[in-house]
Amino acid sequence: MRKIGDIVSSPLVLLLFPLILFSFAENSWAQDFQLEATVSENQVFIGEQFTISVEVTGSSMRNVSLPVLPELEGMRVLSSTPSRSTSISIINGQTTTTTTYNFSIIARETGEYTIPPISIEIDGEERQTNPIRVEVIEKGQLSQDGRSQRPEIYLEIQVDESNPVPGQQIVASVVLFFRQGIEVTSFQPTAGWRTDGFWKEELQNISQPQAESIIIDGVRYRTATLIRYALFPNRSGELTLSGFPINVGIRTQPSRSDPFGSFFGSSANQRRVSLESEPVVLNVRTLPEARNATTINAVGNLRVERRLSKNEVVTGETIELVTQVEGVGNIPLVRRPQYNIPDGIDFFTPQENSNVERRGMAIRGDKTFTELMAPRAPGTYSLPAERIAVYDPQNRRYRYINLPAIEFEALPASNNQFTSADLRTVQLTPVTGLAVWKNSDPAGSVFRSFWFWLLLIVPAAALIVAYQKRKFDLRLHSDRAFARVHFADQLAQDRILHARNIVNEDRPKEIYNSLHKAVTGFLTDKLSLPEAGLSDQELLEKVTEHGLNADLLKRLRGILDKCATISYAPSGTRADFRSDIIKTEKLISELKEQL
Amino acid sequence: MRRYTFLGLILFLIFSVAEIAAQQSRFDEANEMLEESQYQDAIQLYKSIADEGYESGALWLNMGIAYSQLDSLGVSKFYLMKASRFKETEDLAEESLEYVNDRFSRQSAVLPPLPWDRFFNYLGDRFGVSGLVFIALLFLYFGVALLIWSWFRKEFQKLLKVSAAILLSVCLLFFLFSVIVNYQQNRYGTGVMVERQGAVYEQPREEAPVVSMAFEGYTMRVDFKESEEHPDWKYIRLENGMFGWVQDSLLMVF
Repeated sequence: MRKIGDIVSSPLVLLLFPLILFSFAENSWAQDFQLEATVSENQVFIGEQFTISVEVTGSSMRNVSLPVLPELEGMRVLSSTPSRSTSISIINGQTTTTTTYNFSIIARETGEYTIPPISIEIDGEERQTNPIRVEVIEKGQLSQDGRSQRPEIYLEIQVDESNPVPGQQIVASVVLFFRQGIEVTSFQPTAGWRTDGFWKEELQNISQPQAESIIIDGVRYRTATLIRYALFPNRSGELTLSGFPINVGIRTQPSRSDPFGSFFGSSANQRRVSLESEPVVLNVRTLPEARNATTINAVGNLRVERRLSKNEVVTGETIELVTQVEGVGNIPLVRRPQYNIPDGIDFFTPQENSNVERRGMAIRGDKTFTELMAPRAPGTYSLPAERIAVYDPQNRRYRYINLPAIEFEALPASNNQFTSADLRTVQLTPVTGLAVWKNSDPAGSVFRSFWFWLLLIVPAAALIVAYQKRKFDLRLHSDRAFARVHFADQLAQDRILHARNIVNEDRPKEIYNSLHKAVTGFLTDKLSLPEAGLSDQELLEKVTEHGLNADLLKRLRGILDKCATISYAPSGTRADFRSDIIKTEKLISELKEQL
Repeated sequence: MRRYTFLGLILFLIFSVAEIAAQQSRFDEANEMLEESQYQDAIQLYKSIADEGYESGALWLNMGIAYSQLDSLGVSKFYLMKASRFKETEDLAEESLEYVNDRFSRQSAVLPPLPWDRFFNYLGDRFGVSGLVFIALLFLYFGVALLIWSWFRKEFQKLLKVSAAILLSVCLLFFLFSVIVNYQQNRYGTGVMVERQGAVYEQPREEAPVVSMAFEGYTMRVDFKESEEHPDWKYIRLENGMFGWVQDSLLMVF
């Protein structure tokens, strides 16, 4: 703020008014100039720098000296030689020159001071400015190094109510504080502001933030409210608004002469800073109990109305029960009222519509609940009166709104589409007579039953057996040695049977030949020896290698020798033939056990 | 020995028939009470039969009707749903259910079940686990027989092998279905809301946020496995697709 020395308010000047008037009259034709002294701040802190300006404006000045500052109590002059600036303007052919001399001063002691008149010589005559009052005050909370503990720019969330009840609207303002010399060029809120436990609506009431100058803890700041939110706590207890994050574009402004300049001014040294406010803790009180009333979570200055869309309806068709809540308050959080509905009415999915206005400092609007009802039978239906509780946060008590009872008439449907409950009772026909009874004990899982596993094992076993059989058959067909071993006994028995069959034909040579083949064939097949080409002696040697016992070997040799002998000299009786057949049969049987 | 076995069999048959006759006698008596509008007494008698471990479609149907006359529509719906699972009372129970459902003042939105849910529900209702296992075993036996046959009959080997593979694949499919249906039937049950209304909570405690409201007659799927650790609560899925916990006392489950 600029303060100009007031010549009229000085008592001395009042006393000398006639003389001054004469002097002015004389000067008005002799000297056409104006002299003025100003300070940049009338109220400054200790250590704060301010400026005393002496401005000389005139059209015919030829010689103006440097102004001389008198001794200043409680202040120190940084430079006794002032900085000087001159501007020239030409209006209607008349040239006006303005010369400004600026002295930089630092306040050193607290108190109220008067800057004495400053002398200046204009065209050889000494002139003086008027005295100016300046107050020097203590700094705010300063740290030991003499600098303010508050940052140059910071953000705060300011709430208008710190102890609301659930559903009560509070306004949370995002307020920016910044020091003199800083210009805010832009701001952009960033994501991450958590408002758990609140319903949040942004208020649309700030077009362009306006900066104001304030002193906080003895420090001069400028402040601007950036955004406002309407918050509705939805539960009681301690709820926290997290730090509000924002990006701010700032410029460092060297001049402090215009603290109420444009908020979005322009200057040099632009940069962006990220700020976050401190979290704000709110203690949300519990809503008191509403007595004998229906609660719909309504808080604020709200009105509630209820109406039917029509007074008559045909059974089976629907009629609308409309409940409207409107006014200022927590419109978005209002619940559908739970009415006591008489029996015989079907309810269908209710609909909700709401209009919320966010302008101004409070959320206002209306919310409409539309419930579709269908009477099942003709008759007069009455929806009983209701008492709705709306909490008034201003007076901290409930306001009760009485909704009168509503009646409507249900007319019978012309085409008898609807059947009344009584009529349809007839269709509920109980079952009489012999019933099919069974044990209600829950049966165990089928997968744990014995029969299930048995029935599962049977095909598995069949598969295994069939597979083994198939494998055996394949080997019989592909493995000659295996087949010979397998059929050795059977072949020997066939040959013995042949010998037995021809006993009565008295053909000893053929009989013993069969017996010989039965024995040698059995042994070669069993031992996988060549079927032909082996002499009896070689065969006996091979058999001996397989560890045949001596007795059996002896009998084998006996049979083979006899067969060989008979082949060359056929002889013997039928009894001998039978005896030898039996012996051979027994021998093969014993050989089968040993080999 | 044979004589004693025969005698034992005769005695067993006599006792069985006598026991069933006793249930039938009480059932007839209860039916008479029902026709004379002595609904409470009829219900007591019906319940005594059920408590002894006997059930029939007629029993559940008549219980449902008795409860509907007492305006206990939720309980009525529960018994009618049980009756609808018996072939002999399926049609009557469905008709009665339609009537009872019409009388509920609150109707739940019904989310159509997913296609595979519908499929397995159909299999469970139509065949049951035992039926599915039986079908699977049937295919298994035919498949194994054809496979074995193919090993020993060279002339039709390829045809037999392909047929066996198809039958065994079908068998496996039916076994899989039976396992899934068995799992579903063991894990899930059907619950009916029998109180006028009740809250569905996010967690099994009354302080938890309310997810939805359930009203009398609402049917829901009860998850037995999830509910095991909370004896007084049931984890349910409403027909509108919402999940949550309801207090056990509000439901009847089968």
